[in-house]
Amino acid sequence: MNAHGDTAPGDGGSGAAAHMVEQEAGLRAVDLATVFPGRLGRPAAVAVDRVNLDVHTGEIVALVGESGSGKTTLARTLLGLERPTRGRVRFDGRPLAYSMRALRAYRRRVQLVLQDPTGSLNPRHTVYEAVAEGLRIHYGTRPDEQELVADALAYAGLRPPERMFLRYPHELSGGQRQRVVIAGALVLEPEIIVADEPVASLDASVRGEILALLLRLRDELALSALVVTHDLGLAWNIADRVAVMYLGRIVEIGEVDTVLTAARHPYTQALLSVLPESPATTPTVLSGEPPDPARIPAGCRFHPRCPILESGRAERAGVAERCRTEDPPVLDGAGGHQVACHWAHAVS
Amino acid sequence: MSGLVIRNLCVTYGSGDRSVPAVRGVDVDVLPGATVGVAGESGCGKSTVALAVLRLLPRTAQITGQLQIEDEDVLTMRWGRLRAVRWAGASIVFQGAMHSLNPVHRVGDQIAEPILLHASPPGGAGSTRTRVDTLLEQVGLARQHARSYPHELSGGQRQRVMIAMALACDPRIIVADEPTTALDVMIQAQILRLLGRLVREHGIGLMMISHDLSVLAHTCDRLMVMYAGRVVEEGPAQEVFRAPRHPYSVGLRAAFPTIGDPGARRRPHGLPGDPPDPAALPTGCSFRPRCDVSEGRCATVDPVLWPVPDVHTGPRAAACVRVLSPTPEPEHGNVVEETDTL
Repeated sequence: MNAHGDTAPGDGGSGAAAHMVEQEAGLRAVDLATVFPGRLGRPAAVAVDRVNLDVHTGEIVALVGESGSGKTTLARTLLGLERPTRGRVRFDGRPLAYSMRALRAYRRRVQLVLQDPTGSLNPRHTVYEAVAEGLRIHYGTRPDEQELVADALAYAGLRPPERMFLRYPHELSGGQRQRVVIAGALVLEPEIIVADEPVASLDASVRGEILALLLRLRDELALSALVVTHDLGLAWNIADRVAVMYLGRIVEIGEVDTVLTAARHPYTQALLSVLPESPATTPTVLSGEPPDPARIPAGCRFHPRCPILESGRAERAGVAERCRTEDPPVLDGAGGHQVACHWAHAVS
Repeated sequence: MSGLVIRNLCVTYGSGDRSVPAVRGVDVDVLPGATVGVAGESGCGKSTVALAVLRLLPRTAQITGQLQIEDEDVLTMRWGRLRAVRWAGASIVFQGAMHSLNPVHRVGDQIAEPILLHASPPGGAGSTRTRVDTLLEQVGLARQHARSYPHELSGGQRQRVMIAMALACDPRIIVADEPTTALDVMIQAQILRLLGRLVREHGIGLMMISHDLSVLAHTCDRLMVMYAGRVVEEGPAQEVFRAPRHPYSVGLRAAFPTIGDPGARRRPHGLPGDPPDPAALPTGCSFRPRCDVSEGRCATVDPVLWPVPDVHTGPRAAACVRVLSPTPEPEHGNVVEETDTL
């Protein structure tokens, strides 16, 4: 059931057409770009700049980056909430269509879980109403509604579900609220959930429980997940693959075990080095904030902040000039450990 | 003893049969130049302790015990003196920098406000502006940012402004309540490094509050873990973090994984259950209902902080019966693992 992590991308191989469709990853971003036009004569903001990313069936992918890296815009574009400026979103072997009808069907199969459960629940709706709302939108009133709501709550770890039906969000703890939000997604039996910082606003003690829930849903329901986060520990806890995003582009991608223990991109290395428990003796604290997506630097977009370039190691590897002038090739996002860095390729 | 001294602090909200004990007897010492971390989940009383330091609690709160800043008793202080001690004696850096800054005032004016009200520099407006520039420089912001409004700054820059405000009147104590919680890892590292440098350079005592044990362990000298209004473990930060002795600290420690640790790979750890209702605490040890190593005696003994008997680099204590007299068959690796309890 869980062929996660080792599924081949759909567009390779020479099988029959039907076979190829079956092989294609569940959710894919293909050369995706999302540009927001600048207002009052300001330049346009390139929030997502040519991203390839596959989320295979039964796989958990963590999308990691700082605020402003474009990770949330990428998630919104994948959900059909933003129209891509370039490239396309593919789901279940077909490009995503943007008619109301097609989007509605799509959003039943791909569900969003937001960061702040308190903000995503209507304070005047009971738990039952919150979970049943999606069902009613997609199917109207169903005779088995109560059963489906109970099952979803139970899957989300709220047991016995009947006791939760008539409670209001303010009567619940933060962790229980996030479980209700997840139950609201599960009730539609989605194939993929996209979770934007699912545990960032939760207590340390609850965090592990919600992550364990995502992992259990993957194992029991073969539910894939794209988890958008700035928390590398979350990726280590639950994800199969991790994609590191910087200024609209994926700069490193691969299996969690390789990327987080043997990072090759200087940006990933810096992110890992500043974690409190990092084994690195000298943390590489990058100065400044991630730059403006309206003014993406020429050459490698990371070069103005790159510690490898600054320390002269790129010069010694003979790539400093390319770092300043040549944009590294776009990663294809399929499988294996890939890195968009001239230096990493020169020294390996 | 100078710095911040808290003895047997108790804070109760409400009164009569609706009273809720939020803090139940807490002792803290923050010496000048020292950093003390306070960890715990929401509702454990850590933020109440922070607010009590400057008597910022609502009127419904009854505070007992002793609370001294630079040998002056804050709890009995007259209103006028308390106003002087706020900002100049001790100041607070709050969690949400967006909500703590006034959106319609320039940040330079907001930093100047406590200076004008409390320190009243002799040189008037000109010297206040110089002071604001110095403060911005100390927290790593360009002086032009004095003219910015909060919405023009990023989260990390706003948190730097909050720190500049906290420093404005040269306080002896800074209380930082979750100063980096909403920030990215890289910005968090920048802010923690900044706080550490300022504390060293100015000999300020820092009390830092967080639910992330790993952040505190790497920033603070000493670490206290609070549960249900009490300190349940304290000691040298690195030691408490590496080898926690209270089952609750063990659970908090495991919640944030070490990357590269095979024990945490695809195995997120949590603490099942919720903290107890402070108005209806369980008998005996208040952590007992969530503890996976509790024993018969835990239902009757309400443990206090007992010194941890092993070899250590500084005084250590934990409020668990197992510290006082270990169970005959010690269970190791008692990490609380989520199995999604029924």
